[in-house]
Amino acid sequence: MPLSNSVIRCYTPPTCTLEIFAQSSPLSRWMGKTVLKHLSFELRFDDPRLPEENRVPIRGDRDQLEALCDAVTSYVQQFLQQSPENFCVSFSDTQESSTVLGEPELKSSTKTLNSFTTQIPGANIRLEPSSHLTHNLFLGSLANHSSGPVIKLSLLQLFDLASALDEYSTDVMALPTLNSPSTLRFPAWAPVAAVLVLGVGLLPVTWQYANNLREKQQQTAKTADPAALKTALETSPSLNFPTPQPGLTAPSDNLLGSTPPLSTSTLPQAPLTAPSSSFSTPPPNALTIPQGKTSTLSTNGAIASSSKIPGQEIAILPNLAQNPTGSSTQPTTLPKLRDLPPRLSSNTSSLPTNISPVVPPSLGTIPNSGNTPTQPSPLTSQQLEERINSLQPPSPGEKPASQLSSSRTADNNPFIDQLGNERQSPKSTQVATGTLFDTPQVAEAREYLTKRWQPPTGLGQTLEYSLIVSVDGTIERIIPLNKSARDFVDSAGMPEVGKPFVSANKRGQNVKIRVVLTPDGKVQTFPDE
Amino acid sequence: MLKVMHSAANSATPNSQWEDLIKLPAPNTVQWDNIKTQLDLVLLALETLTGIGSEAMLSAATDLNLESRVPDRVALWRLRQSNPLRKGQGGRKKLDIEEARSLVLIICYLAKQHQELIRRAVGLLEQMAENNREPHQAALLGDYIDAFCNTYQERMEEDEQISTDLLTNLALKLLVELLFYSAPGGHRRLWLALLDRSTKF
Repeated sequence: MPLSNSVIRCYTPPTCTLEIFAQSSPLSRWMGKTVLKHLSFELRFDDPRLPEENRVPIRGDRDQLEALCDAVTSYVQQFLQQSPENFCVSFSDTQESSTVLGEPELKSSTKTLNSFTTQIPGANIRLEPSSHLTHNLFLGSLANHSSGPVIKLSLLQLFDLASALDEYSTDVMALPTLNSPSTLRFPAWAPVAAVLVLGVGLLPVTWQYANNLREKQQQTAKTADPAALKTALETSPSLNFPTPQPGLTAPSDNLLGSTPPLSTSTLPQAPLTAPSSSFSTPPPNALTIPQGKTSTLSTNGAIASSSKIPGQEIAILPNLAQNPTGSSTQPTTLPKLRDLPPRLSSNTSSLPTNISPVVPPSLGTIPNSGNTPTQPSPLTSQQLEERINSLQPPSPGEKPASQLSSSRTADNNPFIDQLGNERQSPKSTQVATGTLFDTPQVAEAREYLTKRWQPPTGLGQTLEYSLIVSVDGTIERIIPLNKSARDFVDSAGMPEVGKPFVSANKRGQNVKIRVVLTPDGKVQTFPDE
Repeated sequence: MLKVMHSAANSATPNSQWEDLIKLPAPNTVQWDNIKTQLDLVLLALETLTGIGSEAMLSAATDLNLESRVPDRVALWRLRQSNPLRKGQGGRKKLDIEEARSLVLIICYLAKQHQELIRRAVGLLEQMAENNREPHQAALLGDYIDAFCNTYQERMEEDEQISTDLLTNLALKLLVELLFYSAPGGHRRLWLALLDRSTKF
């Protein structure tokens, strides 16, 4: 996927690892915020005390992650609000150990604790208190055959899981302020693509010109040709240039249908007022959790999945963004479930009920729309020639238009094919610009960092980093190689993970770049193999 | 290493945390007494577990740019004295919402500073629970529980008859809470827990 910026986030509290994989959509440019799509995650419980079979990774998609977030956050909140008496039950009760995990019926002593069991039926992920301060995480749709349906979490594990999920949410909220340096910027391959398209687009014209020339030489008639060529040259760039955009920016194409709803959802504080106003009336019964709660949670959870969540500044698009019916626009005023105290989130029940949850299909079934559909099959050069010949116009004035329209349809695919070929078989090595080993990426990295590297005061040591750059030129990882590099990572002027950094690699490989920043302001970059 | 990758995103400033709390709902009057009690008790747990005193709380307030709201020892004492369970009428004061927010941020800041100790204590508590042993038997927990109970009885009204068992549970519960408040989003958790707390102590 050379067209997408893969975003990787990793949260590593002591006992678990949460990795987020996503692509930042080109929509981000218009949204003024990072839009993630095709998000998937992997969660591992790293506690060595856990039995081996429980250390299997849990994988899921965006909706499941949201469901997990909501389940854990609400559960933790309810756990914190528990009275000390209930807490003492969970601490001292020893009979529970005989309860079979995952068994639905629980002994009466746990009934009181279960009053705050949190469940999101959509993904069926929920938590329940267990004995000895442990908690059972029912994985629901996240369960795989090696993980089993339930994972027993110690308090510390629950805390770490909650922290990782919380950090993920906050991270997502914190991003826009860090994104400011990214201005509207064409991808590095855009000029290359434009030239290619122009070249291919002009092919029929030159072909015809050559043919004409040959014919005209025999006929000794020369007047029409220069004019035809001239008009063709004038019009063809303007007509041809737009073609790379729909063809190449498939992801944005994919999302364009949802642009208006999303942008309306960014209306600033409107959603925030809803929860606070609902607070002004004191909740009727503080102790009991309303019965209808689980259903509310479900609708909320499901809806949150299809909406841009207020206050959260990365909008995560559902996997299927081609839902143009506007169903994704309505829920935007809903507060995020986990931002609210669980009891209060039930107050919103009247809002969401009339909105049917959008269930996105699984990732695999989504066509990469824009790329695939209804492209004409590539024409062979012979066919092309025939077509061009058949288009020989009676008068030169009409020639360009008809010619170009034909070349447009005919060239779309060959153009894409050509790009593909180029990726597979590098044609030319780039000219070295700086040192002997410079690749364009290394040189660009030097240029980028030279502009941004301001040695912080008090820095005595050089900073050394290894940067892993994706095929598309975005930063995938920043690995500090010494202690001060770690300490000063925020002030080293490093690009942000997932952000465009250098031009795309022509060989279709990830690039590793070693960066050395010295206290005297010097920047060295070289390929890191 | 991986932590580093997103550390920039986590650099939540005191101001942004303050904004977080403002966005969250405000408590109603019924909840207010409990909130004052709860804030004082969480601070009590923090004090007795870590051994910090008002000095650390004041310097936390300075670090968080909250000096205007918690300027000195007396002001801090007055804030904590707003807990209706406290002994003595002198200095009792209404706690306004900004002061409550300030205390929330101070608590979470200090909890984060002492997260390692809190984590160790919670880990011990888990182990003791797992082995069906009394938490007292672990030195760290025993000291904490004793200090908590003693200080509680020193400071709170004596006519509030509260059993040692209940106090122990309260101490342990607050310990676990402190762990959750020590996380980056702890201030939100504490605020929401305060709002929703309906139990009396």
